[in-house]
Amino acid sequence: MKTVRADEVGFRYTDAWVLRDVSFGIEPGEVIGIIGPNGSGKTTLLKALDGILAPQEGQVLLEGVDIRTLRRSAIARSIAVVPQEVPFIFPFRVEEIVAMGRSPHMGRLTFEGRRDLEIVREVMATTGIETLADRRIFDLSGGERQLVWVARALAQQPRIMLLDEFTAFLDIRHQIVLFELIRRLNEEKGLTVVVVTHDMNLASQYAHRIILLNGGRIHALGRPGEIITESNLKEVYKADVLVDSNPITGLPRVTLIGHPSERGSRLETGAAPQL
Amino acid sequence: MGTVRIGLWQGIQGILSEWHGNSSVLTDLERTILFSIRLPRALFAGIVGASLSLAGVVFQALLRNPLADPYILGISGGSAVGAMAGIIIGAGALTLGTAGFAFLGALVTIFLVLGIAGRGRVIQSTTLLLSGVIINAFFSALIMILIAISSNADLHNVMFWLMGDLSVASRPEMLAAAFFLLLGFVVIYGYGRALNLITTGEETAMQLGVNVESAKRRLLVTASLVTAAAVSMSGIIGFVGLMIPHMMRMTVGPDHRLLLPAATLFGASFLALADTIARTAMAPTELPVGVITALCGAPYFIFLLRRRVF
Repeated sequence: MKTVRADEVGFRYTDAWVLRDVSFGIEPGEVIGIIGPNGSGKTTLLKALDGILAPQEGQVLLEGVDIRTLRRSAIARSIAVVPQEVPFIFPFRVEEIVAMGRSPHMGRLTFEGRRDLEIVREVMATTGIETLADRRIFDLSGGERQLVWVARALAQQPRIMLLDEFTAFLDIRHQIVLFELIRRLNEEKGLTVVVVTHDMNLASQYAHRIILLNGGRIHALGRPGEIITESNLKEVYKADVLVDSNPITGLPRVTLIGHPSERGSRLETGAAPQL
Repeated sequence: MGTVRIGLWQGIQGILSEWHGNSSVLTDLERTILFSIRLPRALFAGIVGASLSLAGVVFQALLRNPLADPYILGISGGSAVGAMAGIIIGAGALTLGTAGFAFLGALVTIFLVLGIAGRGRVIQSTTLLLSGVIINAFFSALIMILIAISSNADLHNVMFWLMGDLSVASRPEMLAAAFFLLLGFVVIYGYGRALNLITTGEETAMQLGVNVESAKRRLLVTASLVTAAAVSMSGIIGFVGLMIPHMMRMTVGPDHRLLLPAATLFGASFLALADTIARTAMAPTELPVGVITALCGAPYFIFLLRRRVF
């Protein structure tokens, strides 16, 4: 059985369809990358997979069950979301925030028990943020915060993790740290992962399969080698790219060149780029 | 403490000796003042302070706005219009008359605001804030009309109500306010953890398993009712519901499972103390208690804004 299945999903906020005829299945233990231009429906798709948005057409099945029939707490025990940023207005401490991940497993009036606190300590160790436990969230850097969101998501002990451009604001070291962490969790614990990202090289390197979205529809779906091609990217992004193979991994590597028409004219006239 | 001097120690001895059934410590007059006027009044101040602080915590969390207070949705304006209407048509003579009208006004406001902001299934926090502001502005206009057309005798009562007055509480009023406070606390405390999650964003709260829309609806209605009950008995006492949640957040932290009881208890003591100061500072003249809370509250709030502690 697929872990998550989208079945001809169509969604619109107002009049225009943001997602249309989106169908795919995710195998347990798979890493799926979702790429596509701005406004192609990536984030909306992620929210539909988590049941936060209810599609007007089709349905999303979580382990075979229509997600609309599940309680939020039940969904939160299966699916955890790592956001780009969280709008905190009150000075919670890191440990308190990670412990919030235990919420879907707790009774209504209870405080965190011994087992919950053990799990919190464990995931803080996994993500390497034990030393930040007593710091306030406002005092952390962007990279440290992102590790906190990952730790909180892990505290939910989910089977599926959705990540929404979670490395967008991070430097390259933090990007690698986080993606390696996700890969380790996938390989060691069989965590199913869905990553929305603008970074095609990271997607190519870490995803087993990639969904290329364009205008709310699936333009292509397959292994990185099949999806990250010059013709696919040119058609969807309207930008010229060079795709060759990464000398270390052999996976597709994307180099940005420029806008097709500008580049063409420059080449024809032989003019050097203006600096 | 008060215009008639009963010392603190004498008061405590008096209470204890009444408990044991001998009444040698106090004179009859002192006993009457202590048990029929001062103790009920302190108790009432406590109930109102607790209600406003509890509701303040909830509104700040739900609207994710540190500047929110229990009056932000226009409940104060609505109950003021109700109370004034009651005073002008002479309902003050009835038991629960003015308060009843005020409560009715508050209820109408709650329905209006939730009706405006809650079109469809989802209540948007920004829409909620805006409709509160607009309703408040509308009620201010009504209040001014009522002030303009009311007689001098009524005007005095009206002004006293608007400034907040803890002296007039009758026993049924106190019981009603206490009932709403207790019930409200029980309902709200059940959402302690949900409130923590909601302060970090509604979508985050959903991702962490909270049924946000139903929680928000119940919390809004409950906190509004608690506010409405307090306001309609006491008039508009400002700053308590804004300040106490911040003070307690700085003391016990932002976890609502601690914050809710802490703010409720501290709010009770704070308003009882403020009322005592209001009664005695310029004795025998009583100041409206709202003067004391605003005098403490405004500077404290400027201090908060400058430190940006929230």
